[in-house]
Amino acid sequence: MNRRELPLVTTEAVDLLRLRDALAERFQGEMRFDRLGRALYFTDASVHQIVPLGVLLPKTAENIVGRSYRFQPVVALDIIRCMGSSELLDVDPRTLRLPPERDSGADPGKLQRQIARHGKSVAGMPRLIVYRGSDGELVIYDGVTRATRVAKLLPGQTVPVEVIGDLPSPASAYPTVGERLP
Amino acid sequence: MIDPVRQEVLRLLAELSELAPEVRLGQLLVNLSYLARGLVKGAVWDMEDEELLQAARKHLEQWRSRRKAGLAEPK
Repeated sequence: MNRRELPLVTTEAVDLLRLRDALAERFQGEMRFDRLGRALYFTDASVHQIVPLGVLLPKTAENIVGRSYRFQPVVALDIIRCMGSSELLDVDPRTLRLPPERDSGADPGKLQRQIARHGKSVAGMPRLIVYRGSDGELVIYDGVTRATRVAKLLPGQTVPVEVIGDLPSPASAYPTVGERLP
Repeated sequence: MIDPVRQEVLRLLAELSELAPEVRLGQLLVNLSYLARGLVKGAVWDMEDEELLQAARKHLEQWRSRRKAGLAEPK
C-alpha cells in the first residue's frame, strides 16, 4: 500500500482512545481503526476525500436506528451490510456452486443465445445472486448462464455477486461452474 | 376452498414476484425449497406447504432488505 500522507480529519479535538472505548460499550458490530480499513472509505463515492478516524460496520439495522452519531464524518458509518443479509463480493464465477436442479451446468440453448447476444461483454451485466451454504461455499440463486458465459469466455474475470442469504446446509457437494464448463 | 396456509403462500409468492420479477416462478419455488429444506435434490417435491410458508416469509424479508439497501437493480 502507498505510504504517502493521506488527508486526515484533524485529531486535535478528538480523543481517539476515549471514542473507541465509548463506542465499544454501546456499538454492536465491527470497528475498524487500522490504516487500510480507514483508507477504503477515503472517497466512498462521495466528494469528501477525507480518511475517517475509524469505520463502523453495524451488525444490525437496530444498532443504528434511533441513535445520533454526531461524530460523522470523523467516523464513517457503513450501513449497507446491516440492511438485511445482502453482501456484495467480486468472485471468479468458476468457483461458484451450481444449484442441485442445475448441477449439469447452464442450459446449452440459453448459453448460446446469451453468447450470441453479449459475446465477451460484461458491461451492464446484472449482479449474480447467490446463497451462502453452511460451509461458506457460494451457490447460485440466479445467474447460472451469466456465470458460465463469463467463465467460458473470460477466464480469470471476476464478477460482482450479491449474497442474499444463508442456506441451512452445505453446498460443497455440488459441482462448480468451472467443473461443468461446456 | 383453498387452505389458509396455501392462501398465504400464494399471497407471498405474488409479493415476491413484484419484488423480483427477473426470477422465474419455477426458479423461485426451487430456491424457496432450498431455503426450507437445504440444498438437496427433490426438496421442491417434498417441501410441505407450512415449510414453504416459513421460507417465503424469510425470503420476502431478504428481498425487502435488498430493496431498502438500494441493491435491487432495475429490470
